[in-house]
Amino acid sequence: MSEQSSRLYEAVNTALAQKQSVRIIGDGSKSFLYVGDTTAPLLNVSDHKGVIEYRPEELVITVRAGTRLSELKDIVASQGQMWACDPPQFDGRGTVGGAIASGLCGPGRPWFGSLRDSLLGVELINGFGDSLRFGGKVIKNVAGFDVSRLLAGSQGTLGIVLSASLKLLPLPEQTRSIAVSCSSHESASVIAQYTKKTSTLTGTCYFNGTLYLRFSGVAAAVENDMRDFTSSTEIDPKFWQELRDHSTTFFADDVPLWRITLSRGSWYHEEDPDQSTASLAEWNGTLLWYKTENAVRPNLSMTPYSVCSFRNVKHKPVEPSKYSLRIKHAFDPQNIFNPGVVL
Amino acid sequence: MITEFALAQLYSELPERAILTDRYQKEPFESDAFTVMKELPGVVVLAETVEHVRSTLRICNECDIPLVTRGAGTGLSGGARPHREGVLLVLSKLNKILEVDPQACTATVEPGTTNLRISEAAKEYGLFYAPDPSSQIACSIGGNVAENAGGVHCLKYGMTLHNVIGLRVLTIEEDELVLGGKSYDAEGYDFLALIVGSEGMLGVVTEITVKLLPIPAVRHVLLGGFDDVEVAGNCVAGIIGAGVIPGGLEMMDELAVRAAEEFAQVGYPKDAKAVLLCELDGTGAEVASTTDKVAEVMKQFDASVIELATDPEQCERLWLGRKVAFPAAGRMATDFYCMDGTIPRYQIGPVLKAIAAMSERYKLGVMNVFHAGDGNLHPLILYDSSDKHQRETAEQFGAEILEYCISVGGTITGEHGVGVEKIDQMCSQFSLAEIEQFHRIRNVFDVSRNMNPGKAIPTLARCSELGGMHVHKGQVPFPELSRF
Repeated sequence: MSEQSSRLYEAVNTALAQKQSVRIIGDGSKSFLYVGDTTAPLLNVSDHKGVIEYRPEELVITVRAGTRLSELKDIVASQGQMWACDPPQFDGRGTVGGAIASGLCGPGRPWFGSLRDSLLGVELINGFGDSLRFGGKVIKNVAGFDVSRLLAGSQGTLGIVLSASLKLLPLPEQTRSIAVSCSSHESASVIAQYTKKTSTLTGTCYFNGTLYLRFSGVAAAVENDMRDFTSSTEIDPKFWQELRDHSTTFFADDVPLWRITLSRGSWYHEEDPDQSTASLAEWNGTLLWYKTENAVRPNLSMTPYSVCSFRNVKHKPVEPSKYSLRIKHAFDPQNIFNPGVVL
Repeated sequence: MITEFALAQLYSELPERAILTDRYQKEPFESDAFTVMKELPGVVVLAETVEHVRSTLRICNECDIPLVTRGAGTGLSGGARPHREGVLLVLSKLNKILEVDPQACTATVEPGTTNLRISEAAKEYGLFYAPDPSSQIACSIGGNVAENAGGVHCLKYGMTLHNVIGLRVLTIEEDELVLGGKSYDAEGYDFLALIVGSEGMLGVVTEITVKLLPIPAVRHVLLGGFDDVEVAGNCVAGIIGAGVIPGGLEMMDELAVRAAEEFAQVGYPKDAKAVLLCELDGTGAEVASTTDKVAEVMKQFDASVIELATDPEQCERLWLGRKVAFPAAGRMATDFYCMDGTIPRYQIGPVLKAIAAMSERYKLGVMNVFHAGDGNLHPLILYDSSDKHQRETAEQFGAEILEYCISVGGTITGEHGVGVEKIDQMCSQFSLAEIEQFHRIRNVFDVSRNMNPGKAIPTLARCSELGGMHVHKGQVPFPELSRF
């Protein structure tokens, strides 16, 4: 066990002995999402960082959870690879552990899969003070319950992730990004065509009368798909990074921001034209970012799958189910990790 | 134990035809495709509706009866082995395709639906369901969910977990969990990830929503023959290293090539020490480019033969040799054990060498046909079950292969599941604290501990049965299915 692992291991055992809780924090880039008890002392895990093993030909990297996402990106990009779920780096910050805890993914989610999908194995300290390993470094592994993937999006409530093995993909040979002026209805029909055929489409965003599209993959195939868009404007591919990190102008104000997910194949049409700058749709129109001036939960004309308060507003979390309470208890019976956070 | 009272309860809530109690009626259910360990179930319930499932769960819970859930029974690790004093709940009659949604590219089905039927129903919309275990014409999607089934195309398209987006699950307490759905993410703990691959120990899946993908426009298959097994193994890493994710990437060793060739005469290079089959799919432009890349890599690794198939008939011919490998193995020896370890790809060469050395030491032949792109090995240990010594030696040989897989950073099972077959190797792969955590998770969903007892997660004391897919005198279980 490394020095940093021992420090965290001791911190958990001390917390257990003293019946105290801790708030797990990495870079703090997603602190605004924390809805638990803020009086518990912080346990900083960002020092627990670095690559444990990286074999590019395996398309797998094992890193300590405090490793910054930006560093991970550079390391794997130098070998022509990427962590395709592309988690956000708000304010340019964020660690692998924080990304796993939040489970958030970038604009390529519908095509590259979720963060959970790419999580092959983890090492964690549970609320019993045990150091445990689940999953592994191989793509196919069905031995035991899939604890690694349960940890994705668990908001640090089940344990401290020490390290993780992540499935990587080759960087696309070519990427081209374009902007097309069109109505919301036209956008929906363009995207509907693409979901039904094999293509190089890997990103969509619709905002205020413009549809942004990203095509990436084998160069010849990208060029082939681009032939459909002769009257479009080529844009800087950085757009997708800014969208991922919420650094575009849409996200720049302090207005309450909601994250809404819709069913695959559906597309939200703003009925009030005055509100056309209040929503932005990613992921083939199924992830809606919605701003409301009055901090009230948005009332949409269609039934969403989920509505979560994201920034500048906090709404009461739903009551946890009996099974959620039990799973928390199965990992952390003394409630020492991120107290008050309920899923 | 099934008391008179419990049986009366079943009869009061289910139609008589759904309850099998006579020995001759129960015999077809005494094992799944892991036929080494048979057991006659206490009673068989052929559920026709979700309400029947609910009633069965309640009665088992109230009367403290072990409950084993089963689909088509094609599993290879004994996950659906019945309990002598328990209920075997068979879901194969719950086989309706409830919806194919071409807009969302999803299908919602009942658990008894066979894997292939989903793709057949989606075909008219130009869509398909990607995971294709070799038993796909017979295996049920509910069983696929329970085992997190794989297949030939996992490297590119993922396992069952990556393609199932929603589940309805009934727990032993009769709670219905609605997990995931048609959106790209869901709130709360990701119980869906926990249920997939849980081998029927956490609940009974009553409805499954899967994602569908557009059928690729073009498909090519490249065959490469190599003079050295280790070089072929390195070529696999070379292909991935070149930035190509093939639809499928399979490897066969010398013995497997020879057996397949004698069985089906598909035109494989008979003198090759190893053959790689690489399937590339996608748009025309994409496949043209990746085919060139892979052929180039095969040349760099001194492939003695490279053959390209571009039309469906040629592709099928090249695949045929791979598909007949298991029945072909049945002609090499009276019996074989099929193992299922997964290793990091860079270990393929060294592990094959180690297996060859074990083969000499144990004086038993071994044939290797496997999903090389995933590092998922299927060594077939050839032996004669009528010889007690050979039988025991084969078991030891298999156990040593699995232990070796763990030692090089791999796992004991890539796609067949633990079931009863590999339960003692679980103790090698996981620490006591890890096994204990598995038990705590089990208790979250099944306090009664009556859901599929004795499978997948060993008790700490456990260490006994060994085995593999057992083939006697060339009679593969479900001989009509191709095995690959």
